[in-house]
Amino acid sequence: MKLKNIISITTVVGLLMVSPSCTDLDETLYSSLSESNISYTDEEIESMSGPVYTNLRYTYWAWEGLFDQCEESGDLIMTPLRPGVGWGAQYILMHKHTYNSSIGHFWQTWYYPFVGIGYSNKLLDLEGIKTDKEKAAEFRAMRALYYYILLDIFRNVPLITTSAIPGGFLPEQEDPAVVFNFIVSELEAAKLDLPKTSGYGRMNYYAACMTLAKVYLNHNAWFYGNTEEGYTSNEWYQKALNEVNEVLANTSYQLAQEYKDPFMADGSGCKEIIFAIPLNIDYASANYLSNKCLHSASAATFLYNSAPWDGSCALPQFIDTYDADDKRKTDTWLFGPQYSYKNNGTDITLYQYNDFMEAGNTDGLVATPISTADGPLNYSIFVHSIDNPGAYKMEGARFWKQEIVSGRDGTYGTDVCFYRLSDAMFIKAECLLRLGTDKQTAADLVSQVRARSFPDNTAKAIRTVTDLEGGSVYDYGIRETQVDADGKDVQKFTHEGGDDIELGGLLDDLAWEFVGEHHRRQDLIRFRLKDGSRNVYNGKSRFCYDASSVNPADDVKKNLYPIHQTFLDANIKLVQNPGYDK
Amino acid sequence: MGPSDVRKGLTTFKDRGWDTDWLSAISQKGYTQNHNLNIIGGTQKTSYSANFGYRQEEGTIRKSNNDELKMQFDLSHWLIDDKVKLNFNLIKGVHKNDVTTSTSGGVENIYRQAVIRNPTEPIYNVDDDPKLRKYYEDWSVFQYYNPVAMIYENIGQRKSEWTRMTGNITIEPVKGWQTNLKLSTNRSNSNTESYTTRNFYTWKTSGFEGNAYKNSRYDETNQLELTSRYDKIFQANHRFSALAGYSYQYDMIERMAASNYGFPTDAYLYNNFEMGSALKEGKSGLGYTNQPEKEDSKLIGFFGRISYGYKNKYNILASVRHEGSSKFGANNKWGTFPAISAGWTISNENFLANLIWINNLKLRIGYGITGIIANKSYGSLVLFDYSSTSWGFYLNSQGVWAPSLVAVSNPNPDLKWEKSGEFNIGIDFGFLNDRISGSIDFYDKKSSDLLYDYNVPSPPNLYTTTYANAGKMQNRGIEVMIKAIPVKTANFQYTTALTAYHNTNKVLSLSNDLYETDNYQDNGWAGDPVSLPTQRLEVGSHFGRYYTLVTKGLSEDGLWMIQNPETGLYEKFDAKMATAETPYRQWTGTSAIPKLYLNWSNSFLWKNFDLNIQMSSQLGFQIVNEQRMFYENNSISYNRLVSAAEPIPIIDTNGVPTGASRLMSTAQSQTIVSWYYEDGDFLKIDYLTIGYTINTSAIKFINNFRIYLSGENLLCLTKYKGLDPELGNANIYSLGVDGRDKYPTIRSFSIGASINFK
Repeated sequence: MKLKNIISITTVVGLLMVSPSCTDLDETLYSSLSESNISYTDEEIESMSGPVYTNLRYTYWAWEGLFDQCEESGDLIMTPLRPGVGWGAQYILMHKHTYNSSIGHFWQTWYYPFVGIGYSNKLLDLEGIKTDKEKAAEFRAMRALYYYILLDIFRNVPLITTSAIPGGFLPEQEDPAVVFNFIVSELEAAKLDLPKTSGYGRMNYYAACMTLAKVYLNHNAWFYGNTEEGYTSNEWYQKALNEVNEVLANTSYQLAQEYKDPFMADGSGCKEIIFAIPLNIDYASANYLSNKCLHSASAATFLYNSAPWDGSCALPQFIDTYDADDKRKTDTWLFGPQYSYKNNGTDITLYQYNDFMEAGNTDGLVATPISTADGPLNYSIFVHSIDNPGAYKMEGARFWKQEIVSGRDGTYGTDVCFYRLSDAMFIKAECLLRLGTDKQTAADLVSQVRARSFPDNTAKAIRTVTDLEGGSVYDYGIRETQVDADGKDVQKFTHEGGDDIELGGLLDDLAWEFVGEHHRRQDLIRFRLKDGSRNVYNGKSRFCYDASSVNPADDVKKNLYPIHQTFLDANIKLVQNPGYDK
Repeated sequence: MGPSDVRKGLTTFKDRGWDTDWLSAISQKGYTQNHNLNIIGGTQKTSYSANFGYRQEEGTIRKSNNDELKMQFDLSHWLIDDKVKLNFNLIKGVHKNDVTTSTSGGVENIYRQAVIRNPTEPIYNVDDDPKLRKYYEDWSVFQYYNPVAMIYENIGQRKSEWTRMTGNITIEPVKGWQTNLKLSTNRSNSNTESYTTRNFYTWKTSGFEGNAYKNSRYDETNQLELTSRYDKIFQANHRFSALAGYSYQYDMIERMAASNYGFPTDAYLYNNFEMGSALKEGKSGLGYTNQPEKEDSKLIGFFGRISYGYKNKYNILASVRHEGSSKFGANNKWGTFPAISAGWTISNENFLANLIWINNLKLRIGYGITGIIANKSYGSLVLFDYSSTSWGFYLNSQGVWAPSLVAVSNPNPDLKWEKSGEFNIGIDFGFLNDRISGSIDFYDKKSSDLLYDYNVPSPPNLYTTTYANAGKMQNRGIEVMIKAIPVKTANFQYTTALTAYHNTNKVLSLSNDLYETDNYQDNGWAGDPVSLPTQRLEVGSHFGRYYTLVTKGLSEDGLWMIQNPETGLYEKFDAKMATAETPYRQWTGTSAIPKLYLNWSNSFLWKNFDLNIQMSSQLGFQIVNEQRMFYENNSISYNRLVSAAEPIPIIDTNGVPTGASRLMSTAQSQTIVSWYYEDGDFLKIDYLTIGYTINTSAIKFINNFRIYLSGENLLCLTKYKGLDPELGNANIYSLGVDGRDKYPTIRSFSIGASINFK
């Protein structure tokens, strides 16, 4: 009988507990926030400015980001198929200008800029931001920077300027001229309120000037053939010139002593840098260049604790263009036998080894050739082919312009120098040459930048107007070496040279100075053959890219990348760029 | 390929001078033991049962063992003239399994690493002092790690225990009217602890000098169910029953994880967590970044059911559930799901009374709507989070790295129940005293508002997918079951049963409530680095329809010759064909879904012997053999299938064989072509048991004593070249793709004894 009493009590308690909430289905949040508990305080707004910046980092250094898109289809860097390793694939298509809408790269550079724009819109719609001129200017300028990237890569993009969007809204693409004008008017407006100095990696007045300068500089190339947009007009170069003149007037920006200084892991102290995307091994680790470029055994040179993936290398033709006394050749590329280093028995990196060498303390320094299962590690400048048979494991010079930090870091925490003073100087030089107003100043500016890279032969740093206006020394033409059934090399070479390129000397200087700095695709599209028929991007063969494979009439189409299929599938109103399969 | 193939130069491997069978290095003959003890008993007022079970299982991949102990206790008691019944049930289980990457997908899969490894490489570097014996590794090959090291240098286990407590009270104050209250709770705790030593490959790939990891998870489910039913038979022929009820369920999960690395010694394993240097450097891990550390949900239902039967001939049943889940949008939390069914037992009709060979014949018909619940909480809300991974930090305006405040997903305030309405009609039959019996069922099921992470436009969405309701799909099918006892004598009985099943699937719409979409999607993506779809889904057609590059052979220089669907001519493979959108993809005319599924069981009883054989078959489908796609290729730096060294016919542009053949060129990268789509038809002996019941009539305490021998997965007849043509096909979006990373199918034998005591 005792048993029964206990049961009745339990039942009553149970029902009491349950009844008040018997139809309540509200959700309780424990480890997330919802719109109901965010009040957009200053701190929250500051935190929400995070994604406005992080998305630029993702655009650049998410897997398959902007770095690749500005280089892989150009004439400096490639990522060939490596038998026994991998790679090739989409990088072959980019090298050969046969890219299509399935390539992952075109997902990154569309998606992340639009997310950055989305957060900017969200912030700009807040009442608190509308009344805070400086913050509003910062986010408007960042939004314009994203649209600049989108316009450059895809040209035909939707223009979305608010977060107040009706459900089911399928955006349509805007006329590129409207987007162009939006970028210009937004940046002009933002400049009125942007601070002249800011924290490292934050948008400021001069970063806005640089973006405007880039937009103006490329206007005629972007709207090539569009008479309504006045693509032959010189007014845009004048406008670009005005912007960089403002930058150059600010004496707090100074050329760095060494060419490599702006590419150190932490660029915050470098006075040459105008705007950067900060990375950090612990907080924002993303730059995988050290793994993408180096052979696995090459890590020993830097005491880098990883097994790199042996991918990208230089087009052999480009390495051949460097002057023997140009320090940038060895500052940018690893080639020949590779070593690991010791000082009095202690492992040291190539950087430390070079420092000791410079200081003259060479006693106790030992360089040991790196051995691999396939013999000593020795990067040849020669590369067989992009895909047939591809590049063997040690073929191709390797890019190490950006600092490779010892330990587990590599380049993962190495900042992106987005705009730097030399870039402003080069824009000025290019505008002066194109405007024909003060060509000697143009030559002086280029020489000034070159000076630090010719320490042993300062005369060679000087570039004349004739040099810059002359042809390119890049020996364009196909350089494919296939292997026949008997294992013998079969050369498929053609020779086009670079004499027929307008401002070819300047184009060469742009390559030596800015290789791997999101420059080359833009530069190659902007520079044309002297007869005006084609741009260098499509019109000059190199390595395994055959200029005759692209119909000159299609150059304007190939200047744009296709929109990734994912976005077309999800929005039936988006139209693929001309010349690409849907 | 084996060591001699490597020495012949059939791979890109260097001969390292050893003969290693990597598959046997990672596998073992696994032994399993399973013991159970049961007691059942009681008096008129009280009944009880208890069960104690223990199972220990060794995996076929080394160090993938399982260990489980379970105990159950059930007690019922009747009181107040049997008007009240009390029932208590308790189940408790404890489980332990090794931490292993043998079941993971991706590069950490142990089987994958064993398959791709150079068989002339040793397991260990023998030059070293045996005490400092190091695993042999070759870091110059991408994603290539010693699988034996992966087994032995990853140390740890997952331990869990769970308890389910149920209390039940049934009151029947009047005969026929029963009210039942059930309260139950289900609690479980699980803890994982693992340590990868400085010999585990991640020391090289991630720079971890020994990495310790622990997590703990607590799950709680509380349920209350109150039902009241009334059963009554009127005038002998009218049987009436009604039920009404309320149910409440609360689910909650809490989880926590921690990791640390840089330990001074491997000897600590995960037992000295604070000693890792990463903690002091601020690089150790804590908590979860990609899922909530605590979440809960509620499910509430009101339900009712009425049934009526007349003379055991006509039966009708109607029911309705009104169910609400907290996981849906504010205005869509509740759904109503009615069902109705009717049955006619024809064999009870007078006009069949004379046909004594018919002992059962019943016609059934029904229609019902069911609801499917969202698989995650908070899907309808606008959620934000501080993102503090290396992904989410940003340099703030004060120059400090700080977590950014980001939207966590695209909100979908309209999230609602997925519904499916099924119509079915069936017949049950039994003839000749059930010597022949069976059933035939037809069904037509329409599902709508399918819950899935759908692609949405970007811009304006911050994420490219939204968890939403979309699409309409129809499944129609027939299922036939026939059971027969062809022979039945005093000493011998043979029973056989055959089940056949056929289903057709049709997608009626892919558009969702949020956005209009195109009428197709590419599915069944082959693994990295191929990363191309093997199939395409079109509105008006079915899942699992293959759509790919079609080939019959190679070009003179050893590349695939791919048919151009527009011209019908064959062209040499080019990287531009290796995309989802290439116009070179075409329908193969084949499908991943078997046209027919068969199950056939046979059992024989002869005196004290019994024999059971269970067979299954699937017919009329194809499988995408990923193993061949990846390893029957000469461009790779990994080990290859022996078949990679077999010549392939050369064809001309018309697809006609030239008579010559050659090896695939080293310039032909891995890609997906129809060559790797194979017929999957198979017949399997899934299970066979021979038993013998020992005569124990002489033994006083023993009721029954049976010993048996059984085997599982004994035989598979198929032309399929892969390991096992029976695919799980759990994901409808990737049907028929036989992945490269697997835990091998096991053939097992067991010996058992079961004894019942009086």
